[in-house]
Amino acid sequence: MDGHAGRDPDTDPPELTAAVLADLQAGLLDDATAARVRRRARDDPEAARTLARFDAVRGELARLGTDASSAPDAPPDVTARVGAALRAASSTPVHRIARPSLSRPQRVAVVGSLLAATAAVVIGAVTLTRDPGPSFPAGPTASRITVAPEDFPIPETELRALLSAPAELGALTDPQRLASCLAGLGHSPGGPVLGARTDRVAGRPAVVLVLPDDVPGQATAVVVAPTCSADDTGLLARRSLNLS
Amino acid sequence: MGIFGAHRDGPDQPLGDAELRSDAELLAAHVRGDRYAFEELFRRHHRQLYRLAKLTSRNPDDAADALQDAMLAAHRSAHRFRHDSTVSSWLYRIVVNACLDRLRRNRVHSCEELDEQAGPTADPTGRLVTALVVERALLGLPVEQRAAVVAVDMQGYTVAETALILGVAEGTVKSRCSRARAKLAGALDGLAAGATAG
Repeated sequence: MDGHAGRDPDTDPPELTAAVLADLQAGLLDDATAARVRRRARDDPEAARTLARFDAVRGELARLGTDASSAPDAPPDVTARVGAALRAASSTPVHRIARPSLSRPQRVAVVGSLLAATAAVVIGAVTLTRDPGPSFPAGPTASRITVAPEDFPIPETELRALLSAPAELGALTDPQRLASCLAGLGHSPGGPVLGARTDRVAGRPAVVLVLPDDVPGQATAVVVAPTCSADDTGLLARRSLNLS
Repeated sequence: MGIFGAHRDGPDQPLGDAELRSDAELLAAHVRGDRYAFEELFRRHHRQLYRLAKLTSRNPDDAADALQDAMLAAHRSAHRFRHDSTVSSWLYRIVVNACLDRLRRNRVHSCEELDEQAGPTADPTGRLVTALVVERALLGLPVEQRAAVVAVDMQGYTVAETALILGVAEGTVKSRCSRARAKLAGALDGLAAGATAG
């Protein structure tokens, strides 16, 4: 942190270096120091130019975030690889594709099938399905585990019991990991968890979460991997739960 | 030809029509079961998506991995898109989120800088040159500083949100933004000096 923060307000104002002005703009200075720096900067043309430069930087960064026309081409192999992964995902209903990277461990996930018979139970699916038989990319890193498609792994009575019991989040007890998992599930990273417990599903460790739904009076129950994160939830199943 | 070669599920969709569909239409088609719609959406935006991944990753390999993971996550969660932003903004945010989350999980104390990489080689306009200078300057920053300004100044996250995503204190985010902006201002100064000298 810059040494100018927290100076004694009775001493002379800090020198208006670029670093001090950058700290001012970033909100790093304490209130008293920030006020004195602002006062001096108002009467200092060089300081005003420096602050304008920082504003210009922020403007250019914002433009870069949306100015797709200036973006350079991505490496063809990257585009091809991602395109192939998306193509495979569109034609495979119940598996996830692991990256073809020998340095990473194999990752296996299972997703229940769509459209259960009753209106009260919806099995969450990771991808849409059209083909009768899934296919997998060549290579040793892709494999699949199936679960019975029709039933959510946790009975409804047990899901309701979670609503009045202390949440048992297991590996997702860490707030940042939980926030990342919630974001990956499409929920607010800082949102509440109505109930949770650790469990084993299809012979694997899992975490059961009950989360608020957009529909009043309803919740969403999900079974995810303990490693659930924004880019890999390991979602196994999902259902709606009527709270009334 | 390309990847949109001879296959189309819908008999009423000649290849050319696909290029006329908006992002929202492509996403809706994907949700309805169009096997190629999401890939087309990705290819339409792949340059900006890769740019964002590169700017928020330690190295090109990480960027490629994160981009693929992010696109697969978006592919899976497309049905939950609430149309509260443009489709492209939604994709950009998913990529940046995935990269920032990866940085948080793989936090190390060394500061790695990406080598400068070739930028666009199209005829330079003022806009392209400025973008190139800013992007190269960004890639010259330590990844921690780069991630902070990408999150705050490029994606519009608050300092608090960025701190949560990166798993650091808010003061740390502010400090990283301060250092990064100061360095980037120097890069833009060089651009302006070149313009006036030329």
